[in-house]
Amino acid sequence: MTEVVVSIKELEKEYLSGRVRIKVLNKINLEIRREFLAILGPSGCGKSTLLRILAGVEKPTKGTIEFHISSERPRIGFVFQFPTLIPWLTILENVALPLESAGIKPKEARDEARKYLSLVGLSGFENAYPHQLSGGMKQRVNITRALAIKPQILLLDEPFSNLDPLTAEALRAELLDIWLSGVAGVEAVVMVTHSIDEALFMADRIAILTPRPAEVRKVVEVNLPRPRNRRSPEFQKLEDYIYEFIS
Amino acid sequence: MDYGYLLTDLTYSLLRLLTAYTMSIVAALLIGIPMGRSKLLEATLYPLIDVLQSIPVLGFFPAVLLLVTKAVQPPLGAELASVILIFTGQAWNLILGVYSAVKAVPEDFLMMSAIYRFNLAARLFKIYIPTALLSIASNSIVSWAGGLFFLTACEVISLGSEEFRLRGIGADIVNLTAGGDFLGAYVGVALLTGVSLALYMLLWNPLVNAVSALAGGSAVSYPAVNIFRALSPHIFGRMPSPSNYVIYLLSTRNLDVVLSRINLRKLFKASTSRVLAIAAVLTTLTIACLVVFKNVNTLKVDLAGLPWFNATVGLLHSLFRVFTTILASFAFIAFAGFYAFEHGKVAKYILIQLGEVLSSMPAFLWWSIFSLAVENGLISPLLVSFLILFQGTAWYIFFNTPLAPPTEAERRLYEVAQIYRLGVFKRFSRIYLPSMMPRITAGLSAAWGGAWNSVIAAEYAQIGSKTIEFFGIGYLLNVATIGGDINATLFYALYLAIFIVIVNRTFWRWLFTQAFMKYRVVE
Ligand SMILES: Nc1ncnc2c1ncn2[C@@H]1O[C@H](COP(=O)(O)OP(=O)(O)OP(=O)(O)O)[C@@H](O)[C@H]1O
Ligand SMILES: [Mg+2]
Repeated sequence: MTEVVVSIKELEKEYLSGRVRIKVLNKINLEIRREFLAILGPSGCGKSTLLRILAGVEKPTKGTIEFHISSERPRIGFVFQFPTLIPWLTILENVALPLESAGIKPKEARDEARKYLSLVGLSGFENAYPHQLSGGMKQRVNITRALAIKPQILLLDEPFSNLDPLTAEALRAELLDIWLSGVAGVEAVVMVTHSIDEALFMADRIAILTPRPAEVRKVVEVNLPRPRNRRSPEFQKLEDYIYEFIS
Repeated sequence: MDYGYLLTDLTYSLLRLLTAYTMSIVAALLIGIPMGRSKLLEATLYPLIDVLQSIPVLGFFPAVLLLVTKAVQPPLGAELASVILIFTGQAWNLILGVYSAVKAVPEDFLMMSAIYRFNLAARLFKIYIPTALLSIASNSIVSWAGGLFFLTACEVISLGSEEFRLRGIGADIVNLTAGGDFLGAYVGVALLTGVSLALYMLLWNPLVNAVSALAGGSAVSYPAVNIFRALSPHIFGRMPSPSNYVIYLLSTRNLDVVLSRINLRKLFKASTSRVLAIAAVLTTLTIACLVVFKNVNTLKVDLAGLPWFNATVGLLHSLFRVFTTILASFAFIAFAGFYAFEHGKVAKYILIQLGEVLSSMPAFLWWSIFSLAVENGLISPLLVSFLILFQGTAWYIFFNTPLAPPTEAERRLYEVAQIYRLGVFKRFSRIYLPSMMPRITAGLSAAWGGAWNSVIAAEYAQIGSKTIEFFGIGYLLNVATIGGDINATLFYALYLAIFIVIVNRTFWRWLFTQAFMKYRVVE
């Protein structure tokens, strides 16, 4: 389980805001294994920026990212904080669109999308439009879209932060099930979060970042048995321990 | 040759523009603010301005000119008429801008002012006027351009045997072109274009930049020499700044907020009957005016004797031209906008410059620019005519589309496209174009109004020894005006206006509602 999937070395990112340079990421060194990694950090420290660089839509100012994956360009699934479904496309079309872009024939893309939608219990909503769905369902489609392309790496940017607590909890469990059962073939999951509790509940390791410019302050192993019990003394102890690094 | 007088005349023209602009600002404050606060005023004035905005004022200019010159002694009469024409090119946009900005003031703010018992003056000076001024500043580019468009038309016009001519650069250019002095015409065009561009660079762009900086975000960044930005703390610093919500007023999210507040359906529904009522009142007023000014004898209207057939055939000819131009502008804006959107700065910069040059050209200028080539048969007048139409159409869509920054929700959609590596075609057809649809249709329906003004300039011109004619309603209007047939002029203008208003209230409204319902991006 310690095989390295991604190595991030000396990663730095600066933004130019007018004439002022803002350093967002500072010398990030991190190895992502075959694991569920949570990234925890204060608001505005650069978590999303790091994910976007991992996804390849933003270029680092310095440093490298190496993917130790057979294919030359890793397939990446990205779950956005907001559902970001395209309003004029149906649910099925939304999920199928990335597949089509990956070169799969429209018909097959649709079949594949249908399969994944049924996996998350959205059969029957294929032809609905996003505005007809509840917030939780939309976020489920967002996750499905990321899984359907069979990502090697799944990136999640505060995926549960805009949901009501009950829906969020249900989706966390669902996502964990999918990850632990290995159905999706995902090699590593990287999830950005604000919540210590969420990180502890889901992740194998937690990387804690400092305020901007972000550096890795500490990486904590979470060796708690699954399914995790939030009330257990070990859980609470770790929570207190991590809290020290956040404040 | 001595073209020194062009400089003096340029000053006259600028003064005329400035006077009209000042009037427009006053009108925007006096009408826009109450309209945004009072349901009654909103329901009455919105449809009126909606109609006024969409009719081609150029067609009515001869009639207005006659009326005003009868009422006011020369030379003031003609001056007044020309300022009124420029005003109509500037004001509606500013008034509606202020109205929607005031309308978009968040409820929280109003509640706050109610809880702390702000009196009327406090509300006016601390909330509404700053809001209005910000809206005016950010709408000024479009308005100024709207006024410039009429610059040539308003300064010289011959009505039968009478010729009204004002001192102004617009009149000079028209005369020099008609007289075959192409060099002089070029000097005039260069002067006017140069000054327009300088105004953009030194005044309007920095103003908008300063305003959007004040609003807390560079909503649109215009290329400009930023002397204004350096000055802005002094100028704007003292303005009471409701900066925490102003971002709403400038970002395109504004559109959403406003549209969600304005119950379009209800407003439209209520407004149709009001439009009829207003039309009746206006007609009565016009007739009353004509009676007062003893123009009654020329107003012996013989309905059957009116050129119905000509008007209809002319309208169909022009409609075909307008339709083709709108399609062409749509295609151009869609592709160019997409290209600029994807390729960022340089392309966007070029597009913005192009848009500003286009919008700052009085329609007639094209005839002058190509006068030599047309005179020598190097270029088809049809092409020039198309250019005039294209210019008068494209920039409306232009200011609505590629310049407007994407909203937060839209930006996220583009991020989806990026992360899932959609190909160019898919990015264009599935993301960019649909997300732009509400704005493009809004732009298209505005362009539709603009195109008809251009028709009047595009179908008739006097270039040196040649008279350029393309049959259509614009041509008919020109010929009627030159022949001094005020009845026919009014008839054609009314016929055209009614047609435009009907198409606006049926086709464009339907299209916009469809686009808005289906393609609006909200989270
Ligand atoms: N395109 C950009 N240009 C300039 N600055 C940017 C850009 N994107 C992000 N930033 C800045 O970088 C910093 C980090 O942003 P980022 O979104 O990565 O933070 P975050 O940790 O995800 O914050 P949050 O917890 O609020 O989601 C912020 O201060 C932001 O203002
Ligand atoms: Mg973030």
